[in-house]
Amino acid sequence: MSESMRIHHHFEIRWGMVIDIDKCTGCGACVVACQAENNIPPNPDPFDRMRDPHWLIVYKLSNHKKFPEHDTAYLPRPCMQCGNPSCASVCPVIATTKDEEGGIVSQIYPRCIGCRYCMAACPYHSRVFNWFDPVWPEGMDKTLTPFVSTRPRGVVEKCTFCHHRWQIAKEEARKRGENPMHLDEQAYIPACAEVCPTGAIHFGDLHNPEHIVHKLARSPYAFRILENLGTEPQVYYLSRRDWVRKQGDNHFRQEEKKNS
Amino acid sequence: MALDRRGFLMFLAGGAAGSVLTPTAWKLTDDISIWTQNWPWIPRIPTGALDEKPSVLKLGSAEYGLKIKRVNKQPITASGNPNHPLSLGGIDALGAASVQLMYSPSRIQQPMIKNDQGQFKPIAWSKALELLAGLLKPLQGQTDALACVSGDSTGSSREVFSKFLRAMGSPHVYLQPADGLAQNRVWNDLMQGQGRLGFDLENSDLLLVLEPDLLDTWGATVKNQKVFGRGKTELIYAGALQNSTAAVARSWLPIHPGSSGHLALALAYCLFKQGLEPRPVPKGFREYREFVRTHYTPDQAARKTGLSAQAIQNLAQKLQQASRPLIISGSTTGEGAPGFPFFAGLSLNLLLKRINTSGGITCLPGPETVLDPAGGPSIENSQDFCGYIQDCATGKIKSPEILFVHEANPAYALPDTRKTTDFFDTVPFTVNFSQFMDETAARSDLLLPNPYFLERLDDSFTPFGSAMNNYSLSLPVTQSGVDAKPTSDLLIALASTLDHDLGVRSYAELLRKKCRRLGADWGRLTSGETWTSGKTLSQSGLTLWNQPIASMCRAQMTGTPQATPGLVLEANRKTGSSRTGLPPFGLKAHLEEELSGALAAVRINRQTAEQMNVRNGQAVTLTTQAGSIQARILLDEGVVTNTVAVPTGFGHTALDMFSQNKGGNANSLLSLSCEPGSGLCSGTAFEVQVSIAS
Amino acid sequence: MSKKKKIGLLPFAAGFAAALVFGWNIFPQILYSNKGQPTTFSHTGHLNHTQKDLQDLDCVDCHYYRADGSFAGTPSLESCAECHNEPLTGVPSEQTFVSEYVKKDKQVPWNTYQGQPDNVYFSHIAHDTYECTECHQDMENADSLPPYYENKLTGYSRDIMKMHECERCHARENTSNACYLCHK
Repeated sequence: MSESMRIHHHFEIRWGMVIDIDKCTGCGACVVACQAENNIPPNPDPFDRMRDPHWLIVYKLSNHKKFPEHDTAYLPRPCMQCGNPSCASVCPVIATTKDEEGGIVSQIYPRCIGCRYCMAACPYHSRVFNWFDPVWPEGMDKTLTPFVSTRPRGVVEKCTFCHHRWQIAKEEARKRGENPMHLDEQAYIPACAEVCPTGAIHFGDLHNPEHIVHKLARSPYAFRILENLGTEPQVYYLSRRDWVRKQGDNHFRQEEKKNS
Repeated sequence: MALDRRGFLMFLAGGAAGSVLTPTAWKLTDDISIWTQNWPWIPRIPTGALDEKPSVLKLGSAEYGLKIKRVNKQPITASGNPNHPLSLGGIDALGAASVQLMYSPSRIQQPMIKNDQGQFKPIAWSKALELLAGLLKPLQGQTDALACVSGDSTGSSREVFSKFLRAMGSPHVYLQPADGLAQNRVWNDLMQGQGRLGFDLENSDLLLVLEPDLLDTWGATVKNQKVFGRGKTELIYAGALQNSTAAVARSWLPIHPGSSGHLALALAYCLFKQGLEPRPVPKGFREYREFVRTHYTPDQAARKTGLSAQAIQNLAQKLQQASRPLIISGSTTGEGAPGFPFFAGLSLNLLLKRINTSGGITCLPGPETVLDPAGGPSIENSQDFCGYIQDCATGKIKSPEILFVHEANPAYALPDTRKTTDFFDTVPFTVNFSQFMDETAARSDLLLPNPYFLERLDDSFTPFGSAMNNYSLSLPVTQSGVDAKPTSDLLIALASTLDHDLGVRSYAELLRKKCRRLGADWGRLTSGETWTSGKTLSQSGLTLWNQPIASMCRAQMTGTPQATPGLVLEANRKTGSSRTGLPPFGLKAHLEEELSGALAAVRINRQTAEQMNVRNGQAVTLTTQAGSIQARILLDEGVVTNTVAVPTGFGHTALDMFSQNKGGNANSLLSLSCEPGSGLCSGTAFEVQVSIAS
Repeated sequence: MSKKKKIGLLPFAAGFAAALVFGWNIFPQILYSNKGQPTTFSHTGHLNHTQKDLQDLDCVDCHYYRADGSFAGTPSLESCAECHNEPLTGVPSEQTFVSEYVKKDKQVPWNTYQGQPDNVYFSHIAHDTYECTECHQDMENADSLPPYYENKLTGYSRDIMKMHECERCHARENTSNACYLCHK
């Protein structure tokens, strides 16, 4: 990627996630919590991933070796909140941008015209389009949260790192008379990271040395998915397993030689 | 003055010019665009005050503290309670989906009775109770006329059921089969151990897990996951399937399905070889050692487990080098197994002196009973419901006239679905206290819905797997949206109609008394705190060999394992528990390949597929002598050769659209068999035929 | 010729005037419906009680920040019932309020004049340095509630603050105008 294509903003805070793949059991608690928190409607048949809205999904990885050398791992995939988001640069109506402090890529539903260029541009399949109006079974709509507006048919949506939780944390900090731009590590945690029973999902400010993610992202076992594309994701993964880290990127054959 | 054409046009031009100076056009354009963003059929989100209330998950899976977030007192989301010792802030997929499950379309809205045409019609509570009292009255004093099955092994409701049935003259109170129940029976009845088993994973430095899915369905799952997450314990998994636990374990040791007991005894062999001599010597040690030495030579062990003699040897060495190893055995689903694997695992723990020690097995005093302080028959150590069905089928016990079903869905979840449903068909009158119109409710005659756990007051005493005794209250966080009544209170009222005094006037009184007896503080319990006790029972007279153990172990030596494809069941919390259906909010957590259309994926490795002559993605029929299900083949090298991995939790025929038309019920592939020696009945399937579906 | 010209301008002026009248007067009447409020409320009556034994209230007694920093807006029934569990005065509307809402434990469905739509996140506490009256109508001396006008097309209140107003102030104050500052 040429320098001119980079749309780097400088942010004081860079919210980031470090997911320890070696601790993920694929239990799915994060997916459920994400769905409940962000008013993603339930679906009796959610297995057509092209049609079903989801913000966070868990992929199963395989080392592709034969039994009994086979190994498996789970990879939860939220929005990567890229440093150079390919989705934002293609949006014709500026419904998705990366301009707010914290570096979370925004998605404004009323502004979205549903052209889905962003979906084509996103290399992580993090974005989903609402092909249908959202439906909750009668009574279950009572569990809608006040955090995220419901999305009608015809707009694109994606993970926001539970951006509303940051807003809530900032309000709490203001109430206590603290600086809302210098939050405690525990003050703002997305739903998936909060519920993860093995603590595989770490969250914090990648710029802040007091936050654990600052250290973890610099671990020799840390990697990002498709790093070669230059998207600079704010989601890092950790694995001590070589084969897992290798699957983080698609290498052309000549690149592989260069890297090894 | 007449208005001519020119004048009219001038009027329009004037109007147009004037409009430009009014907001009409701009305002309309703006409003129309807003209008298109707020279709009336798109639900609106609430505003208002947020708060959090504690409760305890009670859905037939691991029980632990929850925090329920509410807006204007309406529950919206669930997360783990950091102050609860079994949650520590973590949650599983079922707990996370529990708030939404409360609004499942399959909720039973009011008491119902089945009419002659087999349809349910609403009935008033007073009428229903009157009818039930009338049916129960003539059965008083008859031993076999009334029976009860409950899926709640931790709540005080089982005391109420026990006392009620005893007042009626019946001893037939049963629990749904579970690993906890079976393991405690092996410990108490066969090995002469005291108390109930706890597992101190937290302080162990090496966890050897023999088959159960420790990090998804076994024991205090969320606590297990928390302990694993701290990274201080090395985890080794032995099993036929690379499940959630195996995916993160340091190593996966592939063994034949159901051979974990053999592996444990093979390890004992190696330990003896290395000169291990336990002090003090447990009863029957010499006979046990003799049995192990005869039947678990390296060759035999390798054949029985599918693991190489060297691998077993290495594992034994690891166990001996570890300072605080702990062996965990159980079934892959956590829903009960024969006694042999439990015995084998426990004997290994005993040999390694891991009883009542830090990072080992803890022996916990049983629950304090309020209604029957003298003790009375403890439900826990009596037979489980599978055994009862078997006894009724063989005519050993007369089938009941009336059956109570409480917090359980046995018609779906018990092994050998055909036999179980046959049993339900022989019961003339079934009373069901279920919240959901599940398979058992559909077969029942009277539905008296219990409120959902978030709508009622209940309790939880030391769920299985916990290292310490603990007691917490499952507190209501909202009012019931349906016409339900708490079952325990209902039984207390029913008893007094029949002139029996259960000893308390309400369930709340019972819980308060229990709290006092434990020495806990009611105020702190109701604010979501947990009472804990580190008390353990010292053991004397632990036994490694006696007549029942001998017959149980010898029965394992007959037959050649793995002659035909074996079966390994896999349970996941995202598919719910044996009591619930698929939680609506759990469905998205499934992998894309796990379900396609109406077929669930069964996994085999490539070599097995070649042997069976089936391809990836092919629709097949799995058949055993108990039944058959339809499924789709998914190639997965994380399954032992000559073995089919079948997911549980699918194949619901009742409940809601989230549960229906998805896969087949794996329980219908299992045959119910009772083990010699232990008397434990469980589902087994050694032979499964895979044929391409036509 | 000149006469003809005069006649020609008259229809133009009439059309011009009609459009102005329609646009400024009739159109708003068509667009907005006066929904009013479910019950009457006197701010002055609560701030300066005429009866001696009743405590005078302050604005923040009802319009306060919750412990988590969120703004309570209009008080909940529970806050009203703290004083009005039983009728305190002889005012008939108070008696109706107690019997219709407090006794029936039914929240008052107040219409919020400046309630933002679902997709907007507005933090009062972040704007705490400003006077309330910079955005809200001063109700201190109001004896009755102002009419509540609902936009028939959008369902929004007429008095809602629109995005361009937010942006203008943010630009003036040199604050970020990023989408995610306000949208959810």
